Amino acid sequence: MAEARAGDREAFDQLVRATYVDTYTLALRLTGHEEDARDVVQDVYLRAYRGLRRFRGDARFATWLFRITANCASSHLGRRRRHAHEELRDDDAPVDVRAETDPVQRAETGALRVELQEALAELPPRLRAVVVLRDIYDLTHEAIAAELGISETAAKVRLHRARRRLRDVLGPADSPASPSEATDDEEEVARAG
Amino acid sequence: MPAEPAVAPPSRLALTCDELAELLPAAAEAGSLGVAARAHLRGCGRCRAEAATYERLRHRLAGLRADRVDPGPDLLDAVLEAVRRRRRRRSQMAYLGAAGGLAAASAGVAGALMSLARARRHRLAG
Repeated sequence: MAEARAGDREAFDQLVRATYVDTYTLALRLTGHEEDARDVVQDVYLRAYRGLRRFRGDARFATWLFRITANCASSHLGRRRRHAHEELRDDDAPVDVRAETDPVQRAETGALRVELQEALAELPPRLRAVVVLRDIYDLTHEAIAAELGISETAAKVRLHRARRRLRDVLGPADSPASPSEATDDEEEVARAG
Repeated sequence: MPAEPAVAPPSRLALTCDELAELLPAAAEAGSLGVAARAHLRGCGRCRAEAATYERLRHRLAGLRADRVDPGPDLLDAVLEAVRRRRRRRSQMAYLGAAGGLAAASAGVAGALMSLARARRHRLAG
């Protein structure tokens, strides 16, 4: 890291090699489109290259890259909305981001995981972005708001809505407490009371 | 007539299931709920199950972090090439900047020398 910041070209290339799969995965989750994700990844590393000397090192390099990726993806989708013939609407269903190219990983992926990936992919991009950045990549509300160009309050509202939608999709079949269990519980409470 | 006892209405202390349901998506993150919400949860198995669903949702979302999608080596090549192009452009700009500065400095020196020569000619002529 220090070598890359000092201008060592090979060190920066090594950083790219070490991180590009994660960066692409996040870009794909945010944009929902492979080609968009590829464009975003190129933007991310060019921006990282320009800004590397300004990276203070008080955050993890990966977190710093995730923030740049969020910002680039947001800008990219914004440009698409403004200029593309096919406007990217909130209800556009993006591509599935499961690791389909890896048969081993695909085989090991449980049904619940697949279901969650599908539910995420079906979220509107604005809601998907905040829940992906917060709940999968653990960015702070402040960072998410800053990179998406929205207020922290808006970020929290979107997160709330995204979780509710995911819960609505996944909740009923996912709940461990069957209605009879809940009823038993309530009866127990009533007896205790 | 005896004064009515000062008892807070139950609605101000207790939460309904619907009210709690509004808090749960955010509470899953904060990891804590207020006193009234916790009291409701203690007495309501259905809401406890709902809270557990949110907790599991967050846990499963965090688990997705390990799922990576490999774009293949062509993207890596494209990124490295783009960075190399940027470096070359930077180097060229730096070179042109330095050359331009040198040219400007040379022109300045030449101009100063010409001025000196003119002034000397004037003095000699005078």
